[in-house]
Amino acid sequence: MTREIVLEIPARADYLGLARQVVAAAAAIQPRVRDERIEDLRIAVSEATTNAIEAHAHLGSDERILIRCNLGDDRIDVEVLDRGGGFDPGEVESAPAAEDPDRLEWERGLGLPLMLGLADETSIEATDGGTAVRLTVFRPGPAH
Amino acid sequence: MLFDVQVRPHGEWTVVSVVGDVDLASTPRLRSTIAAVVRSRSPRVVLDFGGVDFLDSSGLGVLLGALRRVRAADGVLRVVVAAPHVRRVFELTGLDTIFELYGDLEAALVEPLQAAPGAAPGATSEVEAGA
Repeated sequence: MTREIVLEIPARADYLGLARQVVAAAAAIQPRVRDERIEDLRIAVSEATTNAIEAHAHLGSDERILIRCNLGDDRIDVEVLDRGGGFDPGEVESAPAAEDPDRLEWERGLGLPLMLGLADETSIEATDGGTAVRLTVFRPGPAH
Repeated sequence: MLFDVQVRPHGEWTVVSVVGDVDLASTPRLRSTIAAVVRSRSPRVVLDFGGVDFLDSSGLGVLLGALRRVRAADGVLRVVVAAPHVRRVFELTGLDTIFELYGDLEAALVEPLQAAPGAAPGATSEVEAGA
């Protein structure tokens, strides 16, 4: 059985905390989800929502951001949907390696590796005029 | 938790204490506070994130900028990180190898300065001699 929670927020940074709280609280409803995994999801959702907010700010758009949280029997899927003009992860330049002296010149580009490292699955797709980021965390099966 | 940042001198160090969530909403204030500290005080700075419950890539970006400013002023930046999920953000991005991370404020303040500013803790002359 899938249960869906939907949150729509203005594309403003001061709503980031609300998005994180709602997704974390929804994930915590599910049994067998460790606190560490909820923290992973909280950070990954914040990254995806931050990207969405920045995409809208760039356009000066007042569109809203949709966050859909699906609680499945064996997984939690969170989709962050914006209409901020699209984002191609293939065009994101990689930051230099940590030991490279030029690493300090790169303050951006950390959100994507964090999402990839924190969620079990991350997909980023262009939609009609925007971007859909889907983050998945799998739940362990019941103990026998 | 509501974001707040406080600055206080501690001997030769300036301690910047941060509480709450560090994200896109709070980083402008954090960035300007750190810039003002490096400009007007000793560039030996301890950023105390012991009261930070949430940190994402926006906050990491500010820290990279802070380290750049501090090193340009021949200073030292130490970062106190308490919560495991905050430390994990550094580890996943490889930035735990760039920043001097400490588990609590006292440890950050008592650790002797390295010969080279910004050198990683534990980087001793023996290691250099063996390299």
